[in-house]
Formats: sequence, C-alpha cells, structure tokens
Amino acid sequence: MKAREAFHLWLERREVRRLFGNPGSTEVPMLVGLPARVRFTLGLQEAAVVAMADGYAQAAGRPALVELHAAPGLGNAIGALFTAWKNRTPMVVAVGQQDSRHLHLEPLLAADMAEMARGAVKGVVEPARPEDVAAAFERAWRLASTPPGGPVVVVVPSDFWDGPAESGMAEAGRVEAPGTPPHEAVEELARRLRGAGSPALVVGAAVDRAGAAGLAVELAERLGAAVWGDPLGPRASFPRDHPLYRGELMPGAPRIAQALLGSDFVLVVGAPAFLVYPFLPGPLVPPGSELWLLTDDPAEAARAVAERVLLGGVRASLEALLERVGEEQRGPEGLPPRGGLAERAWQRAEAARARGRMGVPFVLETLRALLERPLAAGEEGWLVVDEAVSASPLVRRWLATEPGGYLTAASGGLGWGLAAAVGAKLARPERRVLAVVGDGAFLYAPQALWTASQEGVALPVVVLDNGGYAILKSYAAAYYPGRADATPGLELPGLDPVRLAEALGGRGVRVEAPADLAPALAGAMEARGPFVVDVAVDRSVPHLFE
Amino acid sequence: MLAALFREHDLVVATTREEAEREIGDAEVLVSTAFHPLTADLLERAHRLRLIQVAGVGVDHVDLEAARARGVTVAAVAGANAVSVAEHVVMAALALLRGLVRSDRALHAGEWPLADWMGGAHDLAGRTVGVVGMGRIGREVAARLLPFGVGLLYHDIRRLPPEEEAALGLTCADLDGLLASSDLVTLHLPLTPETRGLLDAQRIGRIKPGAFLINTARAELVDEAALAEALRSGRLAGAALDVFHPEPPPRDHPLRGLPNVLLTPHGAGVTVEAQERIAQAAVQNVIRWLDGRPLADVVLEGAPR
Ligand SMILES: Cc1ncc(C[n+]2csc(CCOP(=O)(O)OP(=O)(O)O)c2C)c(N)n1
Repeated sequence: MKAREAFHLWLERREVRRLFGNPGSTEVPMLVGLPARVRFTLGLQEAAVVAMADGYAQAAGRPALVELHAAPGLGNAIGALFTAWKNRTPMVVAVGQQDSRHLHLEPLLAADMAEMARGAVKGVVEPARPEDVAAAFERAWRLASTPPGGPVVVVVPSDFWDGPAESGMAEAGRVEAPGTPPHEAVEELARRLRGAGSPALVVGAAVDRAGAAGLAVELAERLGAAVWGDPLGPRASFPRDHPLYRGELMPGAPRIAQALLGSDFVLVVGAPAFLVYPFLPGPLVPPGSELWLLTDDPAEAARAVAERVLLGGVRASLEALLERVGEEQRGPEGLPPRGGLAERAWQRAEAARARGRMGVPFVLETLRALLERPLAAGEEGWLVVDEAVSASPLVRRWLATEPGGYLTAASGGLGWGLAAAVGAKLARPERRVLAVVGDGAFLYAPQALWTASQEGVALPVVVLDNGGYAILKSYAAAYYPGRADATPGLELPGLDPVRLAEALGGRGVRVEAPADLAPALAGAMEARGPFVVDVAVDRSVPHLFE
Repeated sequence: MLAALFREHDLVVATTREEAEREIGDAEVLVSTAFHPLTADLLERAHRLRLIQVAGVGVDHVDLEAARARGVTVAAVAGANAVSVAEHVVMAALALLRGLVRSDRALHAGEWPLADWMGGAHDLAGRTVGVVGMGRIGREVAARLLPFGVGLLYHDIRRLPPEEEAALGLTCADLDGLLASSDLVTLHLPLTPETRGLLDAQRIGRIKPGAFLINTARAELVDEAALAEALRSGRLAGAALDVFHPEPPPRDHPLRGLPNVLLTPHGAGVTVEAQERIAQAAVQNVIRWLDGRPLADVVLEGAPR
C-alpha cells in the first residue's frame, strides 16, 4: 500500500466528506485519485479556502480538512489560519512540501513551513517518512479537535505520497474530552455562587460551541445572576431576549470593571478573561468583587485575571456545577417578565428613525422582519455570519438573538465572514444562513462567491456599503480629534460589489432607496446561488471609541 | 359673521341653562359644547330639533338615548384636537422625567433645588413609551415621540398593518406586556363599557416599578384611588393627569396635592388653536347640513331628512 492509499483509508475512517483546497504541483500526488466520497471544494485564494473550511467546521461541529499549496499558499492563508485558531476551530491543514530528495537545494516553492505556520496555528506535524503520513493526519486530527480546538498543519513532502505505508498506523482513535474539574473545586464554586449577594456570569463562545447555552440559562436562573456576553464574543452563547441578559461587555478594561461593579462574585465561563482592545488603562475586575474562570483552554487559564480557574469541559463542568448549586430558583423575579419587549420596541423605533438616511438599524430591522417567521418542526433559526465591522455591535443586537445563530471572527482579521458563511451553508444546506459584511471586509476574500456559485450555495450576502473604512475613521476621530482627515487610506471609491459578484458567477443588486430594500433582500433570500445586496448605507462616522 | 354664513337662518346663542331651555324649542340645529349637558329633559322640549353638532370630540354630555328616541342626528368633530393632545403628552413626558413641577415649586418657594434636580432629572431618549390606544391621537403622540430616541410599544384592539407599524417604528404588545415593559404609559382610548376601569388596582400593579402614567383621555379608564396609592407609595414615579372624576375634582380628591403629579384642567385638547379648528369644523358640518350634504363624524344617525 502506498501512503496515498493509507490516507484514503484514514479519510474513510474519519468520515471526511469534504476537502477544501487550492492545489499546486506539490499536492497533485496527494489529490490524484481522491475517493469520490470526498468532495474537493476548490477555493480560488487560500484565505477564502481556510475561511470556508472554518465556517464549515463550526457549523458542522466537527473538524474540517484543508489542502494548501506550499509556502505561497500557506502564506496567503496565514491570516485566515490565525482567525481559525482564535475561533478555536478544529481543522487539519495539509501543506505540500517540495520533494524531500532535493529539499537541501531549497528548490522552488520550498520553505520552512513549520516555522512559517507556528505563530498562527495550534500545532504542526511533520511526518518524517512516507510510512508516517496517515498517522500524521490522525495525530493532527486529534490535536485539532481536543479542546481548545484549532488548526493543525501537516507538512508532507510531495514524494511521500507514492512511498510505502504501513497499515494499522492510522486508526480513528477517540480522545475523550476533559470532563469535570475536581469535585471540591466545583463544590467551592457552587458555594461561592450561592453565597454571593449579586453574582454575575460572563458567558463566552465555548459555551455555544459545546451546545451548553441551555445549561448557562439554567444556572443563571437558579442564581438570579446578571449575565453578560464576553467582549467581542465570536458566538452567541446566551439568549439575548432573556430577562437576565444584560448585554455584551465592552472590550476595554475600565468598561468591563464598570459593568461588573456591584457584582460581588463573577464567573466567566468559556471565554478569555478578558479579550480587550483598544488599550484603556484601569483594572479589569472591579474592587470588591472576586472573579473565577471556567474554561477548557489551558492558555486562557494561564492568562486570566481570575483568582481561581477551573479547567474542564465546559458542558460537563456546567452540569456538575448545576448539580452542586441545587434546584432553588432565585431569578428572574423582579425583572420584567418579557425582557425582550422593550428592546424590540427600541429596535423598531430606531429602524424607523434610520430609514430616511438608510441607516444600519433600518437595514437590520428589514432583514429581521424577513427572517422572523414561524419555524417548521425541527427547523433551526437563521445563522448570521457577521463581518460588518463598525456595524457589528448592531448586527449582534438585531440578529444574534439565539445561541447557535451567530458567528464572527474572534481574531479581528478581515476576509473571513463571506467565505465562512459559504462554508457554513455547505455544512448545513437546510439551514438559513446569511452573511452581513462591510464593503471593505467584502473585498479581502470575495473569491468565495465563485465557490458558492459552483457548489450551488444559496447565500444572501448583505454588503453594508458606506464607501470606506468607517471603523478606522471612528478610531482616528476618537484618538486624534480634529486630525481624522489627516489619516490616509480610509476611503474606498470606485468599487462595484454587484459586478464583482456577477464576475464570480453570483448575482447582485445595489439598493439606494429605502423602499427598494425589502424586495431586494427578499429576492436574495429566494435566490439559488450567492446573491449580493449592496446597500448604500449612511456614511456618517459612528462613535465607537468614545 | 357666523350669521352671514347661515343666511336665511336665525342664529341664537344660549350661554345658560335657562336660555337654552327658552330657545331650544325653536331650534332645528343645536351646536353644543361639553360645558352644557344635553339631558333628556332638555331634549324633551326640542320639538323641531334635527341635528346636534357637538363642537368637540367627545359626546359624553349628550343623552344619546334621548336623541335617538327623537330621531335627532348627533355629529362631533373628530381629530381636531389630536395635535394638541399629542403635544401635551410630549410636554408631560418631558416634565415628568425632569421633575419639572417639583423643581419649579421649590424654586418659587425660595429654594435652590439643584441637588434634587441632578438626582432625579432624566432624558427621554432610550426610554420605552407605551401608547394604549392607537387611534388618531395615539398616532400623533407616537409620531412626535419617535424622534426623541425612544422605543414605542402600543396596544390596541386592532393591530396596524405591518408596513404602518414599521414606518411609525411601533411594536404591538398585549396590555400586560406593555405595562410591564414601558417607562411611560400614556392612555389614548375612548371610554366604553370595555375600557371603563381598564387600569384597575391589579393592572396598576403590573406597571413597571418606577414608571410614569399620563392620562389625557378619560378619568374613568383608571381606578383613581389605586393610582393615588401607587403614586404615594412610590411604586409609580409620577403621573400627569388632565382628566378627573368628577370634573372639576373636589378639593380633597385623592390625586390633588401629591408632589409627583402634574395636573391640568382637562385642557390638553383645547389650546386656542384647537378651539379654532374645532369651531371651524363644527360650522362646516352645520353648513353641510343646511346644504343637504352628508356630514362628517356622525355619532348618531337620526331620522332621514
Ligand atoms: C486582514 C485585515 N486587514 C486590515 C484590517 C484593518 N481593518 C480593521 S477594520 C477595517 C475596515 C473595515 O471596513 P468595512 O468592512 O468597510 O467596515 P466599516 O468599518 O466601514 O464598517 C480595516 C481595514 C484587518 N482588521 N484585517
């Protein structure tokens, strides 16, 4: 058996059904004769390839397999890999190396790929012999999918694929995820939570990834705890309409401390404690309150501003904690029984106010009105993939209402959202997926539209087109008042997202009049392939850093 | 001048009950205001009466049964006061949120209530306003409040079409949901057997703690004793009331004398401009009648002419 055949066997054992990639000569030996059960999904630029795989893995809840071409392909993909790592997305990334027999000459395309990748990924595996290729993929798979998930690169010299393999090397073994932290620690945590005068929970992406939002709700209700979303959280981990939900924390140290002021005990679950940007001086935790962290991520544990960290599986730990906390309910009495009503009233009023100037609230409310319909039995709600940048806080407020319904990049890197939405829809064709992106963000990896059209991916893409990098204008205005105009490179004239979409096999329409918006969005939702709605939104610079 | 409009007809003005009793026997058309009730015994004398045109929005002061028995048509003036009431509600909302009345009283009494002001003056922006009754006035109120940056809930037996809700920025809610979620509740519905006592003690108890109530509609919509109690206890932060039961309210009426209540004498809809609009509309209707054209805002259809 050749290494390639052993790899094919491994693909079957791991039930891999899709391989996202962009090939080059060094990967042809890997791809030749790929079993028909594994669909090769071609992306035309590596950033799009990795981001599609990321969205796919997150929506499917299992690792994605990726192929990249040598040093240039890896180079193009680094930003997206960095994002996948921050997203904690399990991903195995095969990168072709030059033929090992002349590597010492540093031939075309060759580089130390392990070194190139290392700062941006969870790990690198380099099989030393053809016999180890399949085992290297298994190792990468296990490493990628053990919490915290992340991309693991496998560097394979091109000649290895036709080399000999040893059977039995690459079983699809199981790694059981870490379970509950030590009993006494859980016990102590439960005691602290029960004993607190006004406990608070900060709920982060690992909760949603573990499908444990329901447990977080249960915990919050039993404790009557105030609940916050983690700063810049890449997922929705708590129902936004819940009366105990207070909103998401702002990613600035004093802002976080201010929000948590008055909570004598804070438990952060499944999030870094804390993700901050931009820099603001001050404490993260308010004086007089104690903060603990529950995480499945040792690195998060190490850098947290927590007095105590419980390392364990998020789901299992929450279950154990609920058991210890007991059944008694402390909330949400005293709060309005329908916390969402006032919020929805404000949103709808805000949308009416924003209509005339085509403000983002009007666009989002129009979208939401189209999305909000009764679900069929067993049907899941919409999934919104957000790279709306300056409008992201609004996208979260309007559309990230339910756990499992929202994705954004945890890294701050652009060029992810559109492609990730394509990948998510590939993983979950029956689900309503949509992308909401800035005009700037749209252009970092638009090639994903081509893949979407080739694969018949029905994806509405809403481009909030404000003609520039609004968030950077906002930043400049806040940090250098009066000198914002002196910052070059923040305008985007002469772009046509609709024609770009059409050139890549999709369709699109530009919307300038408020009355045209709802029909355009409805049309995009009915389209068979990718459909870009390029909305000429309000260009005034929002105040995001003041 | 009016006489000139009503060529060929005599115009008689009655300002007292006695004058009315004397003149009503000859009158074919009666223009009436709420200050003088048209009771059954008065209508008894109106042998020739065919039309009662109310120069106002409400017809509570007309004994409609007596009118019906005599085949008299009753018409009112709808909408002429909507703008005035809506402006009044905006004024009341801002005044309540700022603690305007309390501060004004203190200043007149020689104090400098800045500390009190700073502890209790609030913005309207960001608040949720609940509008109960989304008729003509409710809509005017909502349209004027929208630019203040508020959220708007409304409750009505009839829901507006979705496009209209979206254009006005309105969110429909059941009454209890509205009461529990609004920082400010304003009433704009007619008094009917169904709405009498709508805000009883139980419903008042469901209003969000610390919220404000504005009533420019009818006093009988609210249990005044329960309201006074909620205001006294601080359960409600304040109220602006334009209507009372009875009117005028006696000196010891429970809603008089509370520090957090803003009172006006059932005048929200009768600004000078509104009075002009009402008078014009009433005269217009009378001319229609005299010309044999159909009337606007008919409340009670009389015997055919
Ligand atoms: C790969 C990458 N390049 C550059 C940036 C820097 N950056 C952050 S926000 C932004 C502008 C985004 O513009 P747009 O998507 O139009 O959204 P807007 O700010 O206008 O809402 C840029 C260029 C980045 N985050 N990632």
